[in-house]
Amino acid sequence: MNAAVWLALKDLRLLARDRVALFWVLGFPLIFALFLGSVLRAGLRGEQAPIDVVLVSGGAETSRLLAGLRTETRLKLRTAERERASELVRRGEAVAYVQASQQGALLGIDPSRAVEAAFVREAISGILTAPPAGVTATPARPRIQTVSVSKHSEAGPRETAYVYPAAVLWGLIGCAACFAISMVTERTQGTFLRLSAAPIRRSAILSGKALACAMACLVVTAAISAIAIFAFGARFERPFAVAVTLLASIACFVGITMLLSLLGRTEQSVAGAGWAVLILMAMLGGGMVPLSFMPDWLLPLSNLSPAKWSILALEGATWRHFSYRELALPCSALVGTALVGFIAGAGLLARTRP
Amino acid sequence: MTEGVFRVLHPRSGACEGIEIHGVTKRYGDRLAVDAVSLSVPSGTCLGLLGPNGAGKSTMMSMLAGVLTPDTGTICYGSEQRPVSSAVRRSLGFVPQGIALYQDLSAEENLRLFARLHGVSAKELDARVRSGLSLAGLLEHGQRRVRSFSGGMQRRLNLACATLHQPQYLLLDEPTVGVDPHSREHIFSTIEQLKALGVTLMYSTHYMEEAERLCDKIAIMDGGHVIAEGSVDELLKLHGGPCRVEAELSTKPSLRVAASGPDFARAQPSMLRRVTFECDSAAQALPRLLGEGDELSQLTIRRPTLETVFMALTGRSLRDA
Repeated sequence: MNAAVWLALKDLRLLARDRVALFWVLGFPLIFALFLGSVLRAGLRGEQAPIDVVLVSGGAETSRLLAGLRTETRLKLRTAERERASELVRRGEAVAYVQASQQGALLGIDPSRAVEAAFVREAISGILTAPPAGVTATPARPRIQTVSVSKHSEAGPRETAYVYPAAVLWGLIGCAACFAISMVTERTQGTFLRLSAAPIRRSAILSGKALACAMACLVVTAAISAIAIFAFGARFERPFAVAVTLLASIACFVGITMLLSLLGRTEQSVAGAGWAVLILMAMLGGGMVPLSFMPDWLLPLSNLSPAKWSILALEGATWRHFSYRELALPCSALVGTALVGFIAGAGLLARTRP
Repeated sequence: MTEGVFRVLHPRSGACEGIEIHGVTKRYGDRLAVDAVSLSVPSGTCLGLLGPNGAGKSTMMSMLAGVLTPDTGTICYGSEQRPVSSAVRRSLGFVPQGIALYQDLSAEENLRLFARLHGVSAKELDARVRSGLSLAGLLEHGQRRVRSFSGGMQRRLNLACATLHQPQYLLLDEPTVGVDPHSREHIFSTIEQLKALGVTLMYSTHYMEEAERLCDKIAIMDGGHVIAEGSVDELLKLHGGPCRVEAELSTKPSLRVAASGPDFARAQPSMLRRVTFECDSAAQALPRLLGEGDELSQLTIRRPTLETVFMALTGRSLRDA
């Protein structure tokens, strides 16, 4: 075994012996994930946020529907061909698509945003029920067929699958926050000086930390996955894709941890900076407040948050059924962030005076 | 501690070469921590770096350990001409000034970790760890967490962690700070045995008694400079000044003192039968002071120490500086 492995084992052993730290790394994220999951399951999403709706290009019915929906200020409307509209909903870029017909409308919804979809359905129903201008007779009750835009099994995805990505995200954030201070602890207790004099590279010291952090993240995500599957009945039809996106997310947060761990000289400063950065990432990335709640001007900033890419990748792997090609973008963003974090961390470590 | 422990830890006695330091300088911003220091430590000897806090000893030790890079100058270990390389690090033991141990690991786990990081093979690991525990006098406490140890036990373990890989060179940065007399004696004894086995040592301290006891040569540092270098005897001879003798005799000595030559030139009879004088050697001067039938009723000899050397060189006390 090389030095990094010995150092990682040492860190995990120290973690196992510190009950308080162990709670913050393993217990707290699980509790937080369960809490967040319960809240999200209860339908927190979609109160006053703008709702993206795609209208399938069509004839007079579509034009009428479009004109009617434009009066709803919460809706952000655009038109597209049917395939494209369905794709936008499947990829989470729109809440629903609407295809008008003479009998009523077909409503394709994002199953994870049922509350917002219900709002759209009510709006459509109101428009279709109202008599056209100049007509006094009450039209027949329109038929609105709702379909879930997902390639899931007939029974449809379980709600747990929708909250799973956010739960994993918070598990990773908890691990990152706890491991961020381990490097500065080495410095304050003097062991970094001894390690610096040992015949090992400084990058091995950082690799050891990264490995230990990754192992803890693996344990946390495995625990969250087990709870999702066995306690809440979540089904992952593509376990390999889920594993790949989990590993990419873990790599990302380990990289961020390595950078955060070198941003201060005291445990207090690193812990403070760590939580601040991670909470900001979670907020911007939709891990704390759904992206649909965010104002338009803030949404582009969410692309800068690894939390967004982590959630997107996990959603893509669990129930949005992204192809591997579609998963490549969020996974690349995650791995890229990991590399930047690790390289920047190694650079800072090389300049760090014990 | 047994010979066996040292045979396991240091089978290559006498095999190492010395340390050469040429014009090493280190600056932290505007502050010059070490200024153009040049020293030579022959193989198998112990060089003491003696100086007050802030003299630059720890910075010097950190550069020797390869933890800090000198701004200018070179440090060479034996025939290795490159700066502190990986090969050198494998033959180097470093005992930091602070206790650099994992408090929530046991003594054995700490030893095992640092042995592995210094390249000790799995085959040899158990024997080395046991020897390390023995060296630290902690054979009975190997499974206890370091957190539960006294300061002295931790200091001993701190030293043992630096010796497991059989270093040819051992750097000790104030290894006895804050330890009880028993542990201090244990550490001294360990260092003396390592020295006897041919390990080349550099020992920084601000305790002159330690430097006098352990070191073959002493470099006195102050303000980043080496202000004097040599053996204890050489330093005392060059910078220590004369012995101060206070003698109380059974007879009045003043006439004899005045007639006794240059050794007593500075004699100051303070009372009828009491004389105080300075001389280079009390052993030679006293017989000439005493006349036939004279008896000494009281004698105090104050020999120069490294403290007086430091005082003579800097005008300050070593402990107060």
